[in-house]
Amino acid sequence: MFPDPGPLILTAKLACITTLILLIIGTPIAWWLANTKVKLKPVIEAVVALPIVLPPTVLGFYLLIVLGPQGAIGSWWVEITGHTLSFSFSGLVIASVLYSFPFVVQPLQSAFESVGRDVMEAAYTLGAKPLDAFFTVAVPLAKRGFLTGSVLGFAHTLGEFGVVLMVGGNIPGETRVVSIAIYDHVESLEYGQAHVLAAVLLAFAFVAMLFMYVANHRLKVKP
Amino acid sequence: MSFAECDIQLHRADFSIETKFSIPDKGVLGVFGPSGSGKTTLLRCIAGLENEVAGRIELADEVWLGRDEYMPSQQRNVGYVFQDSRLFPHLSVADNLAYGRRRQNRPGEVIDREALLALLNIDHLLARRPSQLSGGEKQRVAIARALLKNPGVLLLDEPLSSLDQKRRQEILPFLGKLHEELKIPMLYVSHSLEEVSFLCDHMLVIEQGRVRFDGDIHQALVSPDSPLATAENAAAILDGNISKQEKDFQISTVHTINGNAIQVPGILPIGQHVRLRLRATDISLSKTAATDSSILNILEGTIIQVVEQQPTHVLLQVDVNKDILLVRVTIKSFKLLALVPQQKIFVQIKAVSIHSL
Repeated sequence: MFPDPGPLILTAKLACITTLILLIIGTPIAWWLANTKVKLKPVIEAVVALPIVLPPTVLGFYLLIVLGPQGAIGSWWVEITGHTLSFSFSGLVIASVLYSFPFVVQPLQSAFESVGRDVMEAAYTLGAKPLDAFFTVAVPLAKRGFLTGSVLGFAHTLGEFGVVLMVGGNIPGETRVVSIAIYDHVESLEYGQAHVLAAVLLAFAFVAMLFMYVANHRLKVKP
Repeated sequence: MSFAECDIQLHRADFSIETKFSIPDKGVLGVFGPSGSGKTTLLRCIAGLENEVAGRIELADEVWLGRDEYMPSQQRNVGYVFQDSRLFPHLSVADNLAYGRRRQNRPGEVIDREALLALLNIDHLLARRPSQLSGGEKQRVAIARALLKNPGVLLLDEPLSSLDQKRRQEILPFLGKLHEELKIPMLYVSHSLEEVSFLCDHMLVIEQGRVRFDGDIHQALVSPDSPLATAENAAAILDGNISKQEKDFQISTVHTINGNAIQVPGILPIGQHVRLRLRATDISLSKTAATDSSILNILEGTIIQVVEQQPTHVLLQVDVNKDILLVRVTIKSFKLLALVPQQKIFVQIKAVSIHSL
């Protein structure tokens, strides 16, 4: 009756790693987008936002081609590691990072935009180097953006299905995440197990959103 | 001696700055001009906040801006007070004050923190957040924050303009005290003639990004080649010390540097330095000294020249024992009294019209 906890653990691991990577690469990109004056900015913003509207199968299809053993990145990966990227956990991480990219970058970008140039200039005139000012002024003032971005990135990665199916398939312990496991259980008419997993995801999603809204309220910095 | 020699050029599509001036090594240099004249941009160029600037900013021992040099803002030894205070909202007042102090790495005389907090009357606010401060308190904290960095020069960008008249009157004396007690030079940007008159020692008048007048504050206010002399609220200033009190009449007498005695309302401590602002419209002229007038200050002087003649009135420059005043009279009075340069004349100043700081 009780389902195999493997997919749950794998999903949590995937979401944690993805969120971490997204915070690391998303923060400088969001900062750049918030401050740049290049004319190409709307184009870049549109590309960043693409995963929101793109059908996951479309994204998954292109990723399968790029990450596959014959693909640009996939072939390079095979050369270095001897393993294929598609249908592996690493491939899934790359796919998830792209899939959840806007959910982390957009809240960060708008948080950085509301920090504005003004207080940063004040920090510079007080002797702070740009990186120092970033960590002591911009990051604390943008903490709500970090919170929202992390929660949305994490939760969105949890629910991913179409991209995983295309890029990762359904390998237990490697790419079999919760959403795939639920689909599997339903296919095999194991509604009991599907119910348990679905309920876990539902409960988690609710708790994550609740946490985000409560914390967001608490973290508000009065101007 | 000057603190820095500046030659600042900046060109934008709709606006340009081309100025050459020096920052004196002590006292307050007022940067005055109408809105949009480029005062703030000029200050930002000095602070290193405008990177498309060209020209040269040279100090005694370092170059901030040159042909191939551009020192970033965080390395320039400036304290900057912004119009809108720009305190860090996530930090307490104490942490805001510590921010610059912790990052300053220049040897030299350190400003006494406790004395400064007392001078600016902010020592009771340290635990508060910026959102819990009034506009005037924010601006005082911002001034302290900039000074605690121990800067070589303090740049103030219209620090009072975001405040109402009452708050302005509350902060102006603090700035006056800073001026007396600090040894570092200050640049004070303002479009308020009253503020610069009270605070500054030198003046740089900017119009459309160009220097219109550069010189001593007294000259800047009364000289015919300065645009300030013909401003609608033109006024001369006189520096002096309180020499006498008349408690029964609530009157104090100011002894000016050139030896004139001028009575002002209110009791001020003997010996205190005051600066009087005498508006051209508050002074009248008479050929004889009235003996039964309510006007307390009647001084003998000489008309130097006609500064400006308008269809309805004339602006005259009058020398009262080397104190130079501006007097605005109607054309009618000008003609009826037959006023001409070199003429001896009595200057009448109503005590109640005198503003002092």
